[in-house]
Amino acid sequence: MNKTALIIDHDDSFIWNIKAWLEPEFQVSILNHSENINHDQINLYDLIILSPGPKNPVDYPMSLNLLTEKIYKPVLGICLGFQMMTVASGGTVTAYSPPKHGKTSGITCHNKLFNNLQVARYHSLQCLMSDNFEIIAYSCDDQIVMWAEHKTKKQLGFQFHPESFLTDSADLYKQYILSWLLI
Amino acid sequence: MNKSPVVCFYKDDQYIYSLDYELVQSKKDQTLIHFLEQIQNQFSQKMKIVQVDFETKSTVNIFILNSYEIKHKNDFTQNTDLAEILFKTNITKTDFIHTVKKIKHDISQGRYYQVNFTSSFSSLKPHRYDTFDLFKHYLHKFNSKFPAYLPLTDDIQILCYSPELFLSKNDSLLNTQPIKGSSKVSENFDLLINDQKENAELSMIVDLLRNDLQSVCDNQVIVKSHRKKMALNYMIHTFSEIEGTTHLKCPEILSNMLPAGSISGCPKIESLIAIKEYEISKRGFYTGCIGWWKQDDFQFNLAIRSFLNNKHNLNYYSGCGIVYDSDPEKEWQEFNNKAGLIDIIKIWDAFKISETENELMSIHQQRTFEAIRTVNTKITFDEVRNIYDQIPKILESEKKCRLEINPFDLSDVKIEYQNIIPLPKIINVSVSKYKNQKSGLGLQNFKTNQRQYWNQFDPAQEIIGLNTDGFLTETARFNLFIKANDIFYTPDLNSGCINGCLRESFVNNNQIKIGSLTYPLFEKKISLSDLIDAEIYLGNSLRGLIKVNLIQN
Repeated sequence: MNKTALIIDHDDSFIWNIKAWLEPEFQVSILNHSENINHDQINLYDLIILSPGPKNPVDYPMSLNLLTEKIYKPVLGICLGFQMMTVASGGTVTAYSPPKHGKTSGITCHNKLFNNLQVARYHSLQCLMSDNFEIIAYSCDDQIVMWAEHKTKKQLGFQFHPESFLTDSADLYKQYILSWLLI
Repeated sequence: MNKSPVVCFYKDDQYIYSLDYELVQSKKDQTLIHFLEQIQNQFSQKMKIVQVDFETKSTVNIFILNSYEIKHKNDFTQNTDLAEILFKTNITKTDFIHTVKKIKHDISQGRYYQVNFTSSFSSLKPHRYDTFDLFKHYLHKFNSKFPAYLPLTDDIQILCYSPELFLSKNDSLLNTQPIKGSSKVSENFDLLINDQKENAELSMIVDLLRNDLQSVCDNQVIVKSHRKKMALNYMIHTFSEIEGTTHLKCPEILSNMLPAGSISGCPKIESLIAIKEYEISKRGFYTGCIGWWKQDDFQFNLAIRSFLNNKHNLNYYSGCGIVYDSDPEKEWQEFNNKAGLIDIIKIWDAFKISETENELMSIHQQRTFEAIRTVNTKITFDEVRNIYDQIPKILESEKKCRLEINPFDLSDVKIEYQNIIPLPKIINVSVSKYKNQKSGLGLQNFKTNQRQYWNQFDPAQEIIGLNTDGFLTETARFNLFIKANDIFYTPDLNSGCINGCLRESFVNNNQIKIGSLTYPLFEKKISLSDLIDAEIYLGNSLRGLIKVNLIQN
């Protein structure tokens, strides 16, 4: 049976790309961050996705609350969503200069399947992770965290954009998420 | 039948042309989708020309064509009588660069990745120019793939020369071809292709348009091509092509996808907020879309590289995508390159470089300053003096120095040194047969590249101009002085003559010295009858005062 996913949209312009990337394995719904999200709603989905978007994690208090409250659903954070996870778990997010927008980097990853693949980057902030997170991949050229997973909670974050046409083998990340959900 | 035609691109160099149409406009508070659905229900079978503003809540204009023909581009013959129209930039370089820096700061703070920043150029269309003639004139200059001419009212017309396809739909196939990344025609295309900033600028818009197209498509959209070359007359671009299939119709598709990604920025919502903050005026039709729609097929351009004529006010619009790597200087150049086919006003000055002429220099500097101030009030005198300070006070041989200054960008200066060619011993002058030189005070009192009046004469002949009131003005290169009963007269500045520096120094002293004799000088309106029994002199700071012979026409 198909998994269900809910994208919480932070006024982003890549939501439909994320939806198309996850289909057909996921049945994807979209909700704007400014709408009231209650726990009953959250419980309907197999995966909650915190979307990319403009500005800073602190500009979206409702989404941040969602992470600090006890939700037991798996969460995937992409770019801004990943930065939210970082902030919510005690890490910090700082400005990164020069910003990487619409550019690609290779990643250094323990998982050989992903090592050296090119990923698309759209960020001018970087995540400094707390010990709660395990770092899975760095960018090859400037050693910025590109992928991390929470050690105890079901949270997975990508700093890069798996849905971009600039990212190599986007399907591999989707397969990875499907198996991660089963663990 | 209407008097003014509607023209819209169709296929290749074939255009839709109609004189038999009615213009339907959306009502206030009527949403775009609602209006388009209403038109779809009422006029599905008819060919329609649609115009939607950048601000999608503004009035939508749709020309319903009762009949039309398909004309080839070459059927639109040019009226060769049109002289070039000169434009003023409506933003100074300083303000432009300041805004680009603010946008870059926003980007560094994570506010967005790219914003499209636009401004305009303005001009007065000469009364005798027919707007449709002007459309045909620029049609051949821009050689654009998606042009359109839309007479919105008797007074207001859109002249569009877009190279960019926003959306085309053929059966269920939906296609968009965003343009980003630019270089000069003179530059090697490899430079553009290898440039990481130009690459990123288009790539992020491709991701944005994949997203927007996906929002109206049934299956996963595909990037059919990426970073292909588009060579225009005036610049080179890169563009990409994205395609999908859809069961939706024009109203849903347009209302979901406007404003277009490539002229907004990314992410779109935040960049639209920034555009409101940074751009002084509403964009209106500019960066909206124009195109044809019949049954369920349509093709829309992005209304860029376009003019809006309102009675005699002719505006041209231009803009650039700003990303973090944008070099403000280069973006200013790109902004101007995109207007490369319209002529920007330039201020001229010329003087002799020799030890004896330095006393006139402060008058030259002052005059150039005043000339620039008539179009750009944000310039200081010191900035103008800095230009003159670059010029050597003395050269090995006596030379003429010629300056051409862009009043909106004082770093854009051409300085040339030319040999002074001796004048013939006897100079004959005659009076013009055209009474059409502009009178009154303004830019006409300064030397600029606006030479429409003088371009109608043979440059080998020295001719005295006549203004629209029939009074004498000057010649192409000299101010005019006449001597009668030992008194000198020169046309007043209201005649429209150039505020020449030699003339200025004479007028300041109220007298003219010739050898040991001194004569009083007065400014006045000089008519043809004043020339009878008068001695005629011409003068400028390069040649001094010269007595000439008047010959009868």
